[in-house]
Amino acid sequence: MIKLLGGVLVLAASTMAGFRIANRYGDRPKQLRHFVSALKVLETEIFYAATPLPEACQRIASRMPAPVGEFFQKISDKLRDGRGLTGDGAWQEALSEMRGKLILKETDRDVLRQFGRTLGVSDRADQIKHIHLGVAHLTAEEAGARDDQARNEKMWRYLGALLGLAVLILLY
Amino acid sequence: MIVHNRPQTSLDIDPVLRDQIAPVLPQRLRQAILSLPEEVRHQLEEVRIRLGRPLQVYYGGREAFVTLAGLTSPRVEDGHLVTDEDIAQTLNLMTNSSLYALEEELKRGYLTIPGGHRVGLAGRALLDGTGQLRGLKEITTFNLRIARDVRHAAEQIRHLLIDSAAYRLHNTLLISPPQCGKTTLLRDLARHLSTGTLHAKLPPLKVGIVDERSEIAASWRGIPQHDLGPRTDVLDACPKAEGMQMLIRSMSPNVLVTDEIGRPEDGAALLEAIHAGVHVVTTAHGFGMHEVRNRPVLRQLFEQGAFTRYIVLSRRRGPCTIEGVYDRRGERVQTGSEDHD
Repeated sequence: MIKLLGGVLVLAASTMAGFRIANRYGDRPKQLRHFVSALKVLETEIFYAATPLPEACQRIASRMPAPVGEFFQKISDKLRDGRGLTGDGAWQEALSEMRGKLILKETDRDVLRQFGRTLGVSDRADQIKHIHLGVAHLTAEEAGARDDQARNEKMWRYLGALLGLAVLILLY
Repeated sequence: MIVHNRPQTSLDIDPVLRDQIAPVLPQRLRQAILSLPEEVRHQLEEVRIRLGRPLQVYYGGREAFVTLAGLTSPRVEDGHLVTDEDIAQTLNLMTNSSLYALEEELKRGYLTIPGGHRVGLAGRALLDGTGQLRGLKEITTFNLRIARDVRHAAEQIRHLLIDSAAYRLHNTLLISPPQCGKTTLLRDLARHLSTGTLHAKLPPLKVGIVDERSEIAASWRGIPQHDLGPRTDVLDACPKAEGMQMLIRSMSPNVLVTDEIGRPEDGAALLEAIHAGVHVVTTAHGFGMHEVRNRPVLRQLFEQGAFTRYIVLSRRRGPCTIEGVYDRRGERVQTGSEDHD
């Protein structure tokens, strides 16, 4: 009886682990997509309205779902806290504080870090160029992430459960 | 445009320093400015921040260098040497870390911060292909000028603007060297005209202000930071000549208020306004009537009899000392209140 209960637990745990790993493959392209949308909103704010960064980031934050929205909220808060941070400073701080919540690969982070360096420090035309560059890089990363997702997401959904079964067979 | 009627206590400087000036300064400079001796704080006019040079303040016509503890000293070597970091943080705080949002301001060389204070900027000029100034980069110098909305600044001169025979407003030119309080006067006059308190026999008037350098209304994002009365329309950051025509067409003002007439097109626009039956109150840089007679644009206006009142100001006995009042023909008018030496 206890053996049966243990077996069910092992199976459930491994299935859940499989799903979590699968979800990470699904979350990465989703978050990259959100970053791309966020940068496009930023482009509009900068190009058409010349909105200062704290307000622009606030507006992005209110439109974007959780981790990416939260990221921009953090930037907005940091820029307003009176420390006199540059756009870059706030961006990099937010990026490292959000490390756990943003399901991104190191290459994605590099693209984001690179983009942050130019944030707010030049005229509008230049800002737009950098945003376009950022969007292009992020879109490329997203395409890669989608490939990964297609290859791995389903596999891990099954793999978790199958590994659980394998463990059960070995134990019995 | 909506004019904010913000009650502003002009005498109490501490809240102004704390709520408007401190937020645009980096932590250490903020501390220094807030702990200045009371005497300095109350008369504070300018804070000078220059890369690699000592922090400096101007107050009540005097100057001093400032340590990080807020102590003042006449000796250069006592002042806190402004670092790269101070400059970078100041720039970020003043521009909201968004240089791209201030292209116009960087072209003009100054920006306005909440509260209407003016920050002058200098650094390296950036030119476009045709040699036109496009903006500034590597900004290394800030001149923070504290704006004071001095109510009743125009107390001594307000009766001089009224034609006592007909109780009409004179077309008035205020002439003074820089820093004599012209803009402060103009602001108070505009407020009086708009509320109808300039003279008992003069009804409240619709006032149109063309604020080319955002100094009179000190608009921040289009919102005037000074109270200019309930019947005042402000056209912010607009070239004077075009602005005057625009306001006449769109706002039908009784009085146009602008400052620093100097270019030929300003003169033409003023004449046009006067011919259209609009009164004007304006200012010019100068030391006396001889400049009115000799500077091309002013001379033309003088010869055409555009102004019916000239008021010459200086700083001899503090801001807004009246040096002389002249009529349409440039002859001295006895006013009773001016002082004779």
